[in-house]
Amino acid sequence: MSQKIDLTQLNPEQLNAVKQQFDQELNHFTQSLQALIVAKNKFAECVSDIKTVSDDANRNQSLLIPASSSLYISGHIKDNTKFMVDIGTGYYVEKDSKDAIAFYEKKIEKLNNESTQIQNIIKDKSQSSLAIESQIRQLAVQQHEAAKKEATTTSK
Amino acid sequence: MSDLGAQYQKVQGDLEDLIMNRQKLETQLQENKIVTEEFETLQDDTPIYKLTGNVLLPVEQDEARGNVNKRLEFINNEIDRCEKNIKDKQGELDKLRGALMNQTK
Repeated sequence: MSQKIDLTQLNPEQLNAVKQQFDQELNHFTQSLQALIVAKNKFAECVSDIKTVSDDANRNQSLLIPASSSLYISGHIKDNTKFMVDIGTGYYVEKDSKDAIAFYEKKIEKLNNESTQIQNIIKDKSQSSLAIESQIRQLAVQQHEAAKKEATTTSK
Repeated sequence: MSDLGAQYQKVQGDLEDLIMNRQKLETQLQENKIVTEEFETLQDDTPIYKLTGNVLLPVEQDEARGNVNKRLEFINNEIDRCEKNIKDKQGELDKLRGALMNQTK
C-alpha cells in the first residue's frame, strides 16, 4: 500500500490486472470484517447470557441441558456465580461472573478496534479501486476517440 | 518451453501452499499468545481445565503454562522453518522466471 503508482502510466491490461488485485484484496478484507462482526456478536451474547444466569432471581434455576441436538436432560444451576470460560486452544478457566464479563468485554473491545482498522483499509482500497476504474474508462474513451479520428481521416 | 512453464507453475503452487501454511501457523501463534496472556492474569488458585475430546479435565496451572509455552516454542520454530522454505521457493521461482523470459526472447 505504501508504494505509489501513477495510474496514468499504465496501459489498459495492467490497469485491469491492478484492479483485479485490488478487488481481490477488498473481498478478503470484507470477509474478514464479516468474521469479526460474527465473533463480536457471539461474545456479546456470552455477556448477556452471563448477566441473565448470574441474576439473583436465577439462583437454583432449573434448565434443560442439551446432551445432543435431540436429547435434553433436566438439571438445575448449582452455582450461578461461577462460569467456565474458553480462553482458547482447548483451555477453560473458571471465572466468577464479574471476571467473565470483563474477559468478554475486553475481547469485544479488541474486535471493535480491529473492525475500525479494517473498515479504514476497506475505505482506502475501494477508493483506489474506483480511481482505477475511472482511469480504465478514461483510457477506453481516449482509445475510442483516437480510433474514430483515424477512421475519419482515412475516409477523407 | 512447456517444460519450464510446467515447472514454474508447480513451484508457484508449492509457494502458495507454503504461504497458506504460514498463515495457519500465524493463527495458532496468536491464539496461543492470547492463552498465555490470559494465564498471566489468573489467581494462583484458579482452576484450569483442558478440553480433551468431549470432557473437561482439570490440569495444574504449571502444567498448562508449560504446555502452552512449549507449543509457542514449537510454533515459532515451525514459522522460522516455513519462512525459510518460502524464501527458498521464491528464489527458485525468480530463477525459473528468468529462464522463461530468456527463452521467450
